[in-house]
Amino acid sequence: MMARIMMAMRGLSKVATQLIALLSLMLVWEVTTHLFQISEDKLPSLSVVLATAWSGRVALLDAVLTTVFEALIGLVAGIAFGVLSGIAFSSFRLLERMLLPYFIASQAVPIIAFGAIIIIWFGNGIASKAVIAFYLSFFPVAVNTLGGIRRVSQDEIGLLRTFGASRLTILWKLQLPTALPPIFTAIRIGAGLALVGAIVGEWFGASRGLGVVLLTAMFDNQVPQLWAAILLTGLTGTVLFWVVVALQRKIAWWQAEV
Amino acid sequence: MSSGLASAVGRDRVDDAVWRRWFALVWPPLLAAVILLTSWEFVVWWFKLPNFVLPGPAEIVATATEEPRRVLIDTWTTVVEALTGYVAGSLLGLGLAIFFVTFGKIERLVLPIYVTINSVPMVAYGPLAIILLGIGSASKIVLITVAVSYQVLINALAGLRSCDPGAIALLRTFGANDRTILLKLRVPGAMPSIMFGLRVAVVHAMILAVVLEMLGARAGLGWSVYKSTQMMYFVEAWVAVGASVIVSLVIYGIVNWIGRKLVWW
Repeated sequence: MMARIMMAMRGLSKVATQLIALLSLMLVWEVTTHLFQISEDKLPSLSVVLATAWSGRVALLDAVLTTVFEALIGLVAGIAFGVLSGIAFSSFRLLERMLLPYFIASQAVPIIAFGAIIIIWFGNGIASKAVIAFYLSFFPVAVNTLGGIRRVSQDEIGLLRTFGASRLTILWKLQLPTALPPIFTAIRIGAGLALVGAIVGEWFGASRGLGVVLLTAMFDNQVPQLWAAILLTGLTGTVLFWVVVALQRKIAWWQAEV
Repeated sequence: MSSGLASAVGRDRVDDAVWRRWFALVWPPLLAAVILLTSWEFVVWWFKLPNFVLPGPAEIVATATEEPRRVLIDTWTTVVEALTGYVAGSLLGLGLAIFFVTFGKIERLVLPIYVTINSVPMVAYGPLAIILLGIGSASKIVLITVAVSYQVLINALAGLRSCDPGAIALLRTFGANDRTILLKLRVPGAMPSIMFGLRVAVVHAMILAVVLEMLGARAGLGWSVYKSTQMMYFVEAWVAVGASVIVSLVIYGIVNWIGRKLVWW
């Protein structure tokens, strides 16, 4: 009990320091822009940015929802594909040795370079962005599924087998639950990557979304609008992260460390 | 004489074993590559795909060799941006990590601010960097430096922290000062973690360089992809994509290799 309270306190103080840092950063931003009278084209004050965001709130909300929707479709597909390929790799050694190097290599490759081509293949709509988000997010999930399944000891498998468990039962009742915490860690990383994928995908051709807002603000030299989009992107990423953490606490409650 | 012969034979056997292990590691992905390239070429030929959908590998290579100068200039530009930002960011990240470990108080003040800045994906700062720093290399190098330094800092901190307090106490009793402990114990102990950060960061550096060039640049692989697709030169776009893939893999391989030499344990 005591230990749990201590842990909760420590977690709280971590969040508190982060909040204090955020607030002081905001304060420093506001004060310096007024103090040194920095021009709005260089660095608009925070209040100007917030006012700009508020006056354009309907369009910005639409942009956020569009981008989040694209990212989530890609992320969910990426999780499904990642878990399945992790299972396949753990079951078939040769498959792992043939394909895993490519999975690793695929991550050392600037996939975004393919972005323009993916738009040609999948069109200007949601699908192309979801495909990019999918590509960026499946890899961490696949690797951590494989690693998590490998964590199961042969003794445990042997025990279940003596009870007459089939391979499917062992996978479902033992291997996947053991792999859940690392899988969730991967999903946390994947969520951020999916968001980046959706935004960059929008740069190549889209009519709505955060990426579009960023790009048009750049072309029109609208620095306050640009800052509003940057802050919203950060906020969206942070919210996505904490949603995944909350899901992890709910689904993999037996080992929920953040 | 005979002992010399024996050792030569012995070395030969060792070489043979190394070679065989290497071969066992390499043939499965190599086989997959051959299958992939052949079926790619075959699919393009069989379905008579137009090159705006998918050009075959042979056509891409032919286009690349037609005007090798342009591909080389673009590749050079991107690599210089990525590596400059990577080296600067790595030094900054390592420096900050050592600074933070030595002065714990400053860390509690500065690290949360660093985390806040980096909670926005770096690509979202791209358009702003282009406005403030122009479409030249500076905007790319600055963002890559920030992104790489964060990645390296977080991993280095985790590594420097993970060192055994018992070992520190032991060195202390031998009269070691803070600097000796840092150099002889903390840094070597943190090396695997630091190398992991450096490996992940080099991938980030290349990706960021390519992505940021797409927003605006004078030369570079990302710029080439963007320009070629706008002008419907689809094979040229594939040449740039192929070049960025190969260069990334080579750089990643080099960093990996250096890492294994440095952290042999």
